[in-house]
Amino acid sequence: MKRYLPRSLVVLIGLVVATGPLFAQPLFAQENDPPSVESLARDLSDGDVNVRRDAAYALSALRGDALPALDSLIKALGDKDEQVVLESLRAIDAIGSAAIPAAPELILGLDNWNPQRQYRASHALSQLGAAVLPELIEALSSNNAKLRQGAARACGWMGNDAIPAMEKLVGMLGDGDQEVRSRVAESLAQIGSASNSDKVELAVLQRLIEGNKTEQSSALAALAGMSKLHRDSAQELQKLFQSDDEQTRVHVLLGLAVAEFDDQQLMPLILTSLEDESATVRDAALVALRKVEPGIAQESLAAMVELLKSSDPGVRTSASVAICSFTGSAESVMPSLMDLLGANSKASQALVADQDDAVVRTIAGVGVSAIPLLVRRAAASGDSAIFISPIRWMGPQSVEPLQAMMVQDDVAIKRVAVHALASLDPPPSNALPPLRKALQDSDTEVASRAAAALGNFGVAGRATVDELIVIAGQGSPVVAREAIVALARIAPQDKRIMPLIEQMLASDEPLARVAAFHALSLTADDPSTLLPRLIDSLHDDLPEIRAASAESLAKLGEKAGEAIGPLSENLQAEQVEVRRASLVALTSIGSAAATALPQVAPLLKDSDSGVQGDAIAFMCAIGTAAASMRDQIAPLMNHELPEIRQGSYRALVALEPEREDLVPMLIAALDDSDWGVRQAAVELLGGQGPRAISASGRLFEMLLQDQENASLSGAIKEIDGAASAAIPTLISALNQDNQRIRGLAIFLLGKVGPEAKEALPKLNELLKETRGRGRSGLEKAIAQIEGRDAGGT
Amino acid sequence: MGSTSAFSRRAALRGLGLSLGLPLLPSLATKSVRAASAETSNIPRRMAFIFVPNGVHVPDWTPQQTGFGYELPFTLQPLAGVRESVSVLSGLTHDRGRANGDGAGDHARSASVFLTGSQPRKTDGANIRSGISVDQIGAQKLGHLTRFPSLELGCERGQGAGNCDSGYSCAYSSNISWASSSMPVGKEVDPRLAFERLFAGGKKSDVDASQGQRLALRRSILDYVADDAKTLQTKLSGNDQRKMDEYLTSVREIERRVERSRLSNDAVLPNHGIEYPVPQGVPSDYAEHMRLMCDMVVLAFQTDSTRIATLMFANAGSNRPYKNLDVPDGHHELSHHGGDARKHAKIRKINQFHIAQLAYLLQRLRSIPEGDGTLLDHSMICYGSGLSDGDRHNHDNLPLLLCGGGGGEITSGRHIRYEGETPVCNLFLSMLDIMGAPTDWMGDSTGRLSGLKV
Repeated sequence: MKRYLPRSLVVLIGLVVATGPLFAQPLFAQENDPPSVESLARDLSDGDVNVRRDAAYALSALRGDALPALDSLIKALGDKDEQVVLESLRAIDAIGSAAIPAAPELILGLDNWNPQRQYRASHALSQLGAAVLPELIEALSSNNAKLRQGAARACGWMGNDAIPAMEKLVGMLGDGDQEVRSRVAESLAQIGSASNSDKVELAVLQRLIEGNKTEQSSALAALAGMSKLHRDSAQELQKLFQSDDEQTRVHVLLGLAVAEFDDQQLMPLILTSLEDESATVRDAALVALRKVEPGIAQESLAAMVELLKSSDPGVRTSASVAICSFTGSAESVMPSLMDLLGANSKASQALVADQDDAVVRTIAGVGVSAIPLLVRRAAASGDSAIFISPIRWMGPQSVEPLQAMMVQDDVAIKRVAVHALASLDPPPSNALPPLRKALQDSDTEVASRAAAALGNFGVAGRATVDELIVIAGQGSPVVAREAIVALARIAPQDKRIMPLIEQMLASDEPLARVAAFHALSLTADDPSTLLPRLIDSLHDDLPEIRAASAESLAKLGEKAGEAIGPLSENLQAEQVEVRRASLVALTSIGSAAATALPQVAPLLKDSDSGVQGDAIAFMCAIGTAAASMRDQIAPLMNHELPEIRQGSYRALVALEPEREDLVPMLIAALDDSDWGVRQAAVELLGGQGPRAISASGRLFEMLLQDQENASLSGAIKEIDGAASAAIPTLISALNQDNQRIRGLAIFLLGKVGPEAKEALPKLNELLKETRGRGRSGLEKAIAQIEGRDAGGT
Repeated sequence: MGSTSAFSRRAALRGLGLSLGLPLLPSLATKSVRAASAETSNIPRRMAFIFVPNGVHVPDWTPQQTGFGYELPFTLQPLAGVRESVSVLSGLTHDRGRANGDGAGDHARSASVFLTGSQPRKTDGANIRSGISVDQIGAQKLGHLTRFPSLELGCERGQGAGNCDSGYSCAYSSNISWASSSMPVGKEVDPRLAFERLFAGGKKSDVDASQGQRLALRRSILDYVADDAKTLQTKLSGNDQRKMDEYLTSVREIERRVERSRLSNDAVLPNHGIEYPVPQGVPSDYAEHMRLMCDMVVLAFQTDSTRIATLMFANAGSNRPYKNLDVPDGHHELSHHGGDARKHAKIRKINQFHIAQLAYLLQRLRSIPEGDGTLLDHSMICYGSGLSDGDRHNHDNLPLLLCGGGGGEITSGRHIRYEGETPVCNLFLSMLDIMGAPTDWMGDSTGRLSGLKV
């Protein structure tokens, strides 16, 4: 380890890294004088593996400058350490053609059990250039398949330089080993693509024509992989299009796509292939389609739309991808796509929600040019949802065309356009101005949809608050209802909202009152001035209003004491929402609501588990006032729902916080099957403080299993000590890598005092190793155990 | 427009020691910049890298079909809304994440190798060594174009030193960004601090002082730069006025969320005076934390504050439980599933939860119009893990996604299967090319990755 930094810098580096120098710059220069190539070469044969590794890493970083160390690098290929070998390989690779003396060792490296070594050896050979070809050609003749495969791969990576190996490679298209054949085909494709001449293509083509079946198949793969092909090859490929073999059809398509082949002739093959039962063939057709001249490909768009009717979902998906590649230029088929969408709509309403539907996604993929037609169809059909569904996926680019539709005189079109704008999810920032404008529209449906959509922007819609306030106060009732809710979502703290809510609460219109209550529950304002009205509304005929009123009362907390009576009456309501909202409001009132206990008690057995949970929460809130309910709550510790079990433990602690058997009960809960229940038990044990000292060992065991759990460490700290039974666990924690856990164990062992003397050897050992932060904690713990320090905080 | 020509392209609002970066506003561009914009599309490309620990449950990750229109497997289903922008890359390998003679420690290696492609030296001392990471190569070449060369974020605090995994320094487990072979770039896990650095640039002493004042008075950054903003608004075109208003609003929204997260932590993490660090300013809700960090990336890209970002959803080997998913077990423990179907079910949930956060990021990028496309069209988001299967601890066939259009250089929406042993670093070389920061080699690269565009 010759070039290590002093160990004293460990902490400093740790601090720099851990404290997060965002946008950091390097602070340390690791080495002053870089060692010479010669000394690095010597280090490659050092007895210390770390020295050898460092040398190999340094030499590979030198790239071509490592040439003087070549002999040592070649020798290092036989090192027993994997890193030395791999890095030496990389260094030789980087030296390039001057590393030719390494060829024999590299060829040997092709025959290795380790696939990475084979891969690297091949690549290093490919960097040696034409001079290595004799060795490679010899390797291609080897009986060893790995050697043949590695040599073929090296030839492929070499590209045009490997032309002299072409003949040999072509001869191997019929190799007995399938992997070798496949590699040879790929290499010939690479060499052919890199070559300026057509030699490789012609040689492979000849094998395609004259070879046996195996050779033909490999030759076809090689041709398909080339970046360009001549007309002669295309003609031969075309003959094979009807093959039963899936891979053959794939290769034909890919080959024809890069061949001098008439696109007009290719398109029918592509269309046929888009219907192929094989996904691989369909994908090859999609690749081929992208190589076809756009004007010609467009002529087949209608046929592709027909494929969207296929019963095979794979075919529909492929057709969709194909049509989407014509983004911005598929207007001609838009009416057909609309018809298809309309037909599907009649067939299945579920389509609207099906984001993977091929037709919807196709139209979305075709792009915003579809918008005018979509909007018109939606306006004409009266079923705007289905025609708007593709727009949802178009994103911010759809805003401008929708905006253009909104200035038209046709109100039906305007309504659809604003509906579409409102459906964009997430709402793009450029949709704000047109929605703002729509807010002022004389058509109430347009304006109300715009108001509702503005609420989706949340705080980002702040610029519209003034306009919404005017509309909520003076606009038509329909628009005002949406505006008040949007306001509460955008600017919950705006003081101007509350008077508007009050105004709307006084409305005769039930829907207006529901909207006002909804807004009230969203605002940050204290609704205490509305208390009489809220209480009055608890008697409303509409359950929605009673529930909304109770929700608003919940925001008032104990100030809603006057509502206890009517809230209690609503506990018998038929609607779950009303019962739950009333319970939540009573819970928020706190101990004063204890008078409602007789009405709440039966709800512990309510048929709705949500109501049961809320009833338990109520018991927690009134605490000791509900002590008489213990026997009703205790059985709920075995309830099938973990939320109810968790709540029951919390309630039992709240009802009788001083009860002797609480700690054993909570320790038992630490073994509950549900994490949430266990977590609640942990927190409740922490709340017991030092009384829960008997739980310390079990809690620490759990912490060792779940080291990031802040509740566990928090509870242990709250208990502020450990029982003697916890000593073995705490001692075992002294071996932890996690410094936090170790520190906590040390702290607790100190708190145990002299009884923890068996921890002293390990603590003293740690003391010897520890410098700086953490040392004082160790010293203190040792002193406490040795009786020299009484502890304290 | 003569008066505005004095503004640089990376203009900022200033006030009381703060400077707030601005998005690209054509009204503020100098004549030469406007001319350049007219001649070329001139929209910058961005790249971000997101790391997830402990590998994935591979059968639920890898699509059965290759090519276009692949069916989304369970884990990737949250990406349905943006699937056309997502490519699955299978078969790529980080050989330098393998033991290669160093024994246990796959988790630490999986993070340190993730963006470097370099074998970390097995040490828990100061002599750490890995290699420069792809983001930092990009930052060194392109960093001068933006206010910050790069942005390093995370959602889990990590130790900078000490032994975190079988003799590997915690620096390896906690960082994916390396400025040099010996210098990991610490990540910011506190959204509040990341926010302050991003949007209240200036001298550190000024930032610290103003931050203290602002927190004490509960005031917004925007209050401090209000006068400057007012003056500037008069110099902007109508479009740019709207753009700036939207930007300032989004800054405020994030600021509000960051502030809220800080307050909730103050309430739930009392300091007990015991000697170990208690995180501050980090949301107690993990999903909200992740989304806030994603928002930082979006805002940084949107404002061209930086074009390069890294984000660790969690540290390597993280054993965090996911109670929000009803998964009380630690993630790392679960990853050693030993074929247990119940553990598989839980890992799937965690993997999908992470992907849902990625989907959030992609949707956000996609909601921001830029040029004739969206911010996502001009970005590349590389998401994945340095381990394939957490139980097997293998570093081949890594779970990797490449999202976004890369400014038209990537044909996305495909599943591409590469030959085994192909280095992940080849992908990074191609990404650097697309960014306009080409380099001959990095890590264990052997060349460019073929097939990203058809």
